[in-house]
Amino acid sequence: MLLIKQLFLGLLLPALVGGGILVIARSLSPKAYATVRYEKEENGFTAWLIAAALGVGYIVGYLGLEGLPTFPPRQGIHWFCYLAIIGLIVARFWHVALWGPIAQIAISIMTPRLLLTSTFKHTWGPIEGIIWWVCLTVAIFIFWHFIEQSFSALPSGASGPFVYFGLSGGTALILALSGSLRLAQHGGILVALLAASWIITLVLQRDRKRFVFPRGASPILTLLLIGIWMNGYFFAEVPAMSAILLVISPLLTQVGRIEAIQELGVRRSTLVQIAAIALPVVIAIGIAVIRSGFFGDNSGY
Amino acid sequence: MKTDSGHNRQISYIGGLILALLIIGFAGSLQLADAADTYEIDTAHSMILFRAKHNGISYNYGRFNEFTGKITMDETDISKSMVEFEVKTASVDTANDKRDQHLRSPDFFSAKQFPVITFNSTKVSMKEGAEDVLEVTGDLELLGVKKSITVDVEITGKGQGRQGESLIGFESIFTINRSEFGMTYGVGGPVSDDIRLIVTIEAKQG
Repeated sequence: MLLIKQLFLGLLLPALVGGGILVIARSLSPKAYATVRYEKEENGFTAWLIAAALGVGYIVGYLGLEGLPTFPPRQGIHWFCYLAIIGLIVARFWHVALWGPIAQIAISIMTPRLLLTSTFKHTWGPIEGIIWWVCLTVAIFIFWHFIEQSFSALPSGASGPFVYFGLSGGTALILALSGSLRLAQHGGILVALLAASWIITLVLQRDRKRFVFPRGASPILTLLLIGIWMNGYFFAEVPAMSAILLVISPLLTQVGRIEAIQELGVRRSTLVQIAAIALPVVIAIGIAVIRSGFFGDNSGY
Repeated sequence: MKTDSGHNRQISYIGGLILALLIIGFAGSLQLADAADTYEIDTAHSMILFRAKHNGISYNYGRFNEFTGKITMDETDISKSMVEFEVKTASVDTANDKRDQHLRSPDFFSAKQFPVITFNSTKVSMKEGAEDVLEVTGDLELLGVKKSITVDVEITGKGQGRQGESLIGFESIFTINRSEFGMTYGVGGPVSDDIRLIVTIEAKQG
């Protein structure tokens, strides 16, 4: 009974809410889907609505699984809901000059400090803490850039949601193998949302409306993925190499900019890009499987 | 000169009197301190067990292997007694490595994020109508949530160890709802919300 409730609240409901918002966004401004350049101010609201589909869908899933978040957040997981809200706010003004970079720098600095408060307090000394903080800030900033660039690097409309669907699926699986089914459920919310986005995109493409994630979706995707991964690595048992491979995977969308790959045609180059992104995710899953003792003689429980 | 000498003598008398008063006061305070005995928990002869129901079918037991604590017992005025506990969450042990790893994860104790569970008493009294049973109220902090709980603590024995040290024993059995501390994973499913704790302590006078 609990499983059915969790499947409904953590997968189906967020997918329905997120998918519903995407369909509304399309009906409000069909032209907004004609090009990736719908960051233009006149299309700002529609672009935000597409980003909001992910953010609001995630918040619905969070509330379903965890209930109302505490304030101030106590556990790392409690931050996820607030990260989605911050992502929604930042996404709304993403097209406004300077707002994006300023928000990106500020959030990249603050996120590790807020999410890892207890690690700073109990685990790291002052110097170690500062080194980790600087490294994580730089890593988040660069990863955010990878995600933003990946939207325009992927040629086919449906490939964007599909790639992140795969990345979230890999994340959920690695978390489940690394001892935290609760964190895996949060990865599962993203899987459901991106699956819904992918399916809706495929349907939209049939009537030749090209549909691409707006760059404004990057704050929401970045913050949620980073939040889940940081909790997985620092508080669960996600192997370091798996975490690193997940972080670098969106960078590999850039293989689509290589001339030789572009010459393969849209369909083949998209496949090459997807394969390039899938490779580190599959390796990351493999490492987590080996580390989990899945093939050992552990009796489980 | 005579006058000066008498004056000096007077000063030395006053100084001596102050010193005597200080010594008496200090001895008196020592006497007061003696009324409260401080005991350190002997972890080799103490245990913190917990019990949860699995799938609503059977009881599964676990324990924490690492903890420290201090008990201050004031026999003359029991309300001045105090209890302090610190339990290392990473030391959870249910005799199954996979389950222990899961219990240490953010699904349950989140041991990396919350390395300790603490209990600090705020009120100690004798339980009415019961011999050798204390009623201890205190703040239990788990997963960053602090809640006041009141538990019955039985004094199971008093005596002396091999080296003549004073020993005292306690046992307390009580139940908490883990969801009240934000540990909600699996509630209504595989792991019960109510967790019974069995705390049995032998403490040595420090």
